[in-house]
Amino acid sequence: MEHTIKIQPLDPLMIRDGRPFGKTAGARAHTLDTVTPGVVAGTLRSLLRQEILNKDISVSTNKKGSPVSQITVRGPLYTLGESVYFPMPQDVGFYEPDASDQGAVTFLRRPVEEKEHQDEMGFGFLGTGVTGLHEDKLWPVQMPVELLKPLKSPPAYISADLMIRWLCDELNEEQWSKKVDSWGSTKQSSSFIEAFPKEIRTHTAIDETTYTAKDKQLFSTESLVLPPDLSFIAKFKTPEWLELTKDINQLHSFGGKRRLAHFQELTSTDCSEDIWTCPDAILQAVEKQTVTQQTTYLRMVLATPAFFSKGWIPGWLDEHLESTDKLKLDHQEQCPPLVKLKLRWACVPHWNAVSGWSYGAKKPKAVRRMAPAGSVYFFEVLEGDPVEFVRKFWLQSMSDRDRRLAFFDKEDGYGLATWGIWTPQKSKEDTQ
Amino acid sequence: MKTDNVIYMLHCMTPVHVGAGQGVGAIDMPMIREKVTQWPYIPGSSIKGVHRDYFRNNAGLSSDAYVNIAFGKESSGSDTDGGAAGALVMSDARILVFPVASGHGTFAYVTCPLVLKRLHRDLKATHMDMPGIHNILDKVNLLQKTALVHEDSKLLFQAEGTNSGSSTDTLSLDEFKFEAEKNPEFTEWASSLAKQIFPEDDTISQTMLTERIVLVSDEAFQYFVTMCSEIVPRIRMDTNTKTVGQGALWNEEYLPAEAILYGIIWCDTSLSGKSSLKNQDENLLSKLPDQAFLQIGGNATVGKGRVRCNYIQRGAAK
Repeated sequence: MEHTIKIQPLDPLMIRDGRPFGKTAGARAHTLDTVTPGVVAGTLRSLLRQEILNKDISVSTNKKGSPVSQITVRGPLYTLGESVYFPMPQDVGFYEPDASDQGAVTFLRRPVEEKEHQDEMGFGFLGTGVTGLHEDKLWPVQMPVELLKPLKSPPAYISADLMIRWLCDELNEEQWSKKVDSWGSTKQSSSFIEAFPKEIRTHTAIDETTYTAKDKQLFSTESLVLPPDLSFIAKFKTPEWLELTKDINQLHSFGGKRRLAHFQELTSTDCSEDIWTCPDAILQAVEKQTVTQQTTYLRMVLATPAFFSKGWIPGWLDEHLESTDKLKLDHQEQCPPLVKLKLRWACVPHWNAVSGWSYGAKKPKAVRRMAPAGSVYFFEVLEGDPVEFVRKFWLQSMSDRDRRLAFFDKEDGYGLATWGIWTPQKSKEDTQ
Repeated sequence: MKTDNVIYMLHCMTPVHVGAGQGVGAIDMPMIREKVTQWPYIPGSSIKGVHRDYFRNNAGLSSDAYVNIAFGKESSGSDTDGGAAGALVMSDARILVFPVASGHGTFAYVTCPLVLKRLHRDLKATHMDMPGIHNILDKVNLLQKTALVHEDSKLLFQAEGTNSGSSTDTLSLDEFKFEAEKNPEFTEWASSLAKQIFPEDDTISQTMLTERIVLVSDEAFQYFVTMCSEIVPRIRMDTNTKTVGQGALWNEEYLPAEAILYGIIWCDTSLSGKSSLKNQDENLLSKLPDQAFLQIGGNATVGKGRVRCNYIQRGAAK
């Protein structure tokens, strides 16, 4: 049975990174900028583990490869008020107002198709130039001509309504600038959420005999401060042998320093299933492009960080950057892939270092570099049914399997992807 | 229903200083404040530390085994003993009411809608209810210069209204005046709150709260908690000359006496289940007394940091 859980943090959260935090004077425990899927999945499995203990079911619950550790979890997405939020897609850039002072400058990052103009345009960077590894396959991207300063505090999360419009390729630069300007002045608009601020607490250890601070035991911790109404949404499917007797509605610790969060199951009346279903508007946009255009172009935007076996390139792409038979959902092993995609370009910011704690092995997990949430991959559809593909792969994990068996990235919800369309940009010569 | 959490209420009997290190402004030793709201709070780590000390010093109340299971055990350093996390998890203590000087009634217990929203969220998470809080959140839309008070409020005085000859209920907090309204929903909630914060037989404290509690707008509350904390200048005397030591003058900031905060204690039953405790000790939360007097933060030897802690458990809405 599938369950959608709303997680409401009650205290600032510490999502530890891989840096050590031991008994060293002045040591600081750092937090990541956002909540990783591994923390959500691990906490939900701890909740289920307790359910198993209460039911006295004979299942190994705390070992590597146990049935509990392989329960598939998807998330986190974010909710604020009634709206769902996604990480900001990286194929739109915001810059400080230029000399004309017309508000924030927006630049849409789009690959340029016309290869014959590339030399004249002076491209030769971002892996698509004369010495790039994939220069014969990737298309160059048009960048701002002037040097612009990135916006000081750009939005970090985008509402589902706006994201759907963006994935339908409906927003132009002017509309983006208006949205960002109206949000930037008050931060009250429901279109965006800013990056979560971090607070730092300084701690000492008190000697229980003298009631003074212990020598050399001054340390600090860093935590994410979330907006008061912000919650995370995650989904998991319980196996047949573990049917929950009642809806989840309880407290549990979440992340480092065991800060508290409220876990509550959403029911169908809360439209919980709508969150995980591809919106009709996107399916219609894909269908329209398929029917009216000669070529269909799909965009994959990551909602959670993804582990890819080839670094930033998904393992389901071959050396020609074309998708292989690996591009299918786990439970559809026997079916042929729905589409064949060819990567044309990608917007991938600096990698995220993602680690974790293994309760089974009682030691930290290896730190791995992941493609961050918000990364955008631009594909050309070579063959197949893109509408059916987008419907089935909406918010499914696109992560690869790690060759080390300690990781369950797909089961933990890494690499959840939203899909949309895009149109190649015309080069400046063509537009003039 | 199995209860694995309690709400605790902290009533500051004397000023409390949980410091945030050295300041760079006029206040040398500021108290710790929330990053975004700038509201004062007490970290969960302080709450947990003083509770551990409380149980360690009350041998009749608990055993060493209880202390280690409830509050955690440090590793002995050997490979076989990696230590253990405590089963009790304590949230930060969040501000509930903040005392502010009042022109009538001496002082007021001030709160605001955003505080009540956070309280409501926390009560919902702990399956507890507080009569009247829904009505306040649903119906009240405070203007900048209006305030809600209990029907028995002692804070009010009559001031001339805008219409000639009429007079309105008014209250004066710090240097600001508010138009006051005796609100039945707020009265219901404040009466139930008084019973939860203070012991049943402490009717004096309960009455003090209901007569002085006031709900102001979020912006007004923000001003009071950031600008009306207690600032205490301190000096250090030179033992030989009996004069102030060189450079030994500093200002400390305190959460004033009569401030009230609240938080959550959650018991991780998966950890308490491994206990080697006797049967009567198995429910770790049941060991919490009805009320405890604790010392939190710095300057205990000069009378600071004494708090009264009440525990509301087993879904106890009164």
